[in-house]
Amino acid sequence: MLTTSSAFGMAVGGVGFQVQLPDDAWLAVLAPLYNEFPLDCEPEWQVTVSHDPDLDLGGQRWIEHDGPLTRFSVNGYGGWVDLERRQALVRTASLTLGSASLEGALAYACMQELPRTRHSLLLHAAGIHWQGRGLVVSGHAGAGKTTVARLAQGNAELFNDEMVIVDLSESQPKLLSTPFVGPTTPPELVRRINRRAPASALLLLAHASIFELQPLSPAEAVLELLRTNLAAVERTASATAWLAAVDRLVQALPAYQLRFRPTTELWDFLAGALLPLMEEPCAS
Amino acid sequence: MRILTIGPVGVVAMQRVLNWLAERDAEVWVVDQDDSYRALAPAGFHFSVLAPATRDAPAPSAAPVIDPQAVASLQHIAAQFQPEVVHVHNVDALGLACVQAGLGPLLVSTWGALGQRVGQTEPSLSPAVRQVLAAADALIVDAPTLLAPAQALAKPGARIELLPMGADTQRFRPGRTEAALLWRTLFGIPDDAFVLLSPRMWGAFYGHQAILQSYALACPRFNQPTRLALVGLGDGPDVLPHMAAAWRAVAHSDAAAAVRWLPRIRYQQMPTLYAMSDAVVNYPEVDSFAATLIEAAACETPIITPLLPTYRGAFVETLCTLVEPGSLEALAEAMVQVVNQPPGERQARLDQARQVAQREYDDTVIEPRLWTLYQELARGA
Repeated sequence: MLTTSSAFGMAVGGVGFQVQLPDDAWLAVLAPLYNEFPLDCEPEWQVTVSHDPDLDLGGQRWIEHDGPLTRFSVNGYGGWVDLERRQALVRTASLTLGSASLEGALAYACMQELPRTRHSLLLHAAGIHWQGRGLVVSGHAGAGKTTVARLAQGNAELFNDEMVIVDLSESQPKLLSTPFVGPTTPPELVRRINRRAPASALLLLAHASIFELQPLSPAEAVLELLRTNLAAVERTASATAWLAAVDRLVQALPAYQLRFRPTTELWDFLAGALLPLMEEPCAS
Repeated sequence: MRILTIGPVGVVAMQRVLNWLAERDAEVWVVDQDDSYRALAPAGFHFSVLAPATRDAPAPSAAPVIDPQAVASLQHIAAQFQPEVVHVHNVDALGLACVQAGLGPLLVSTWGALGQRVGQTEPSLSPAVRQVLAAADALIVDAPTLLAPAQALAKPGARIELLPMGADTQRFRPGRTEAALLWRTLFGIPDDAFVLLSPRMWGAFYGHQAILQSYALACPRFNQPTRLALVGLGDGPDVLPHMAAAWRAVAHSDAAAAVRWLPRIRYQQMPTLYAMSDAVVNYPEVDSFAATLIEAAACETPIITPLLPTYRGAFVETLCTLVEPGSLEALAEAMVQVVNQPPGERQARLDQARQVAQREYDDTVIEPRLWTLYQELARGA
């Protein structure tokens, strides 16, 4: 792909991206959003954002796979990701969709790349840094990730309410933030900060009228993660690496089902119920 | 002109000077404690990395002793380069190493080193800072009220220059740019919302806790939708507890949904930050003369600020909305006053502020003065 001056580099989870934008106006608006994710390694991926003012996807939402090539149309933008050549192109009708479309392509690339080459996982989950520990908070749409993210403010540090990385390359798993903002993330919860913490627990959420923490077996945890990360295993070629990484994850991290009420009492409950079960975090 | 320039290049004040020197075709040798400038240095600039270790001070009132190897390295660079001026941009270990290496003529930018807390009559300084200031042939201060403290700390005969950081008022200018409008959209800010911007990075001294709490107090009294934009969450060790405490006060108020957390913004992107905002809230406990004040003035953005000792004797006294330090209620009242004020009522004052920025703080004013200072120091004047 041709790279011109309207380009910038960034890295997420150790994966380097060279991002080509339509012009300098796009660069001035979009590149600053990722200031905290500077390119600190060789860019392996080339991602091009293309401006197509006449693009009308008519609200279509589909993903199709053809060998290493994935074509998609989601949330008003479309394009393709080529896992073999490590290239992606995303077309969008306007700059206001620029960050969403770029992050869609980057997140998909990370989701596929990390398990295969980095012993890491991009998960559809909130990441919360609490009491020196990283909590991976997962659950299906509506299970309460955003609610917990809101409740975290003032009690913990929110890494991201939608997508986080768990790095399993060393014996102590690490929770890494990402700059990816979900389509349902409220603006006040948007964080594009670059943080990491020792990962200490995987919490699978369910709304309830009580607080309850139930240990899950590794098999139950894998099934729950599968339900919330289906896009990661749609390609059979990638599913093996993803499942292997998830297997490492559930062996390394204790998993619990957390039934909770949407109040800040959650943190007192976790201090009483979860904290005694967790090991002291190692320095990250 | 050969200028030995001592780091840290990461600070904007030094980057601006290096850019000016490149435009002047000066011969420059940069020494910094990390390697980040190597890839960015203009062709023809020399660059060295030197991270001097320090040994314990021989007495509590004495400065630490710099590792002799680092001192010798600096002396070697100076012998090779024969600088006409040595400009120390931060009073840190490298600055101290220059002093202990006996380099000169030595020009020291004091920036935050002389910053005063509210209520302090003079800055409290470490022995290391005192040694550097006392060794300099010239000191740069950025606020009129720092002239006297600098004079008292400098050696007899040293020059004290009032030379604020300044701003390029062609880039920092009024008006909502297209990029700024897009940022508002991308940060989830409605078109009709009045944006109060806190442009300082998160840190212990910048008053974010007070800004958040005051915003929550003020919210019910605003006569139009508002958003509070906070910039750069920082990564210092004090940031997390500081932020949690700040947030706890507002997490369950209506203000919580109106806060926007913006990423760390680079200097070249700052004009867009002001252009997307409607007023700046600056509420530090201690400061020198913040570039924020000059930039916001140049952008005709209303400024809410306490009148810190270092802000006296400048346009802040007459052209900003002044707030008593350490008072949540006063800060909230100032926010209400600025947000609810009809724009026409403040325009004359904003016009004046920009005129002051252009007349006194523009790059075209500051850069030649610095160059003249270099020339005079080189001549031994």
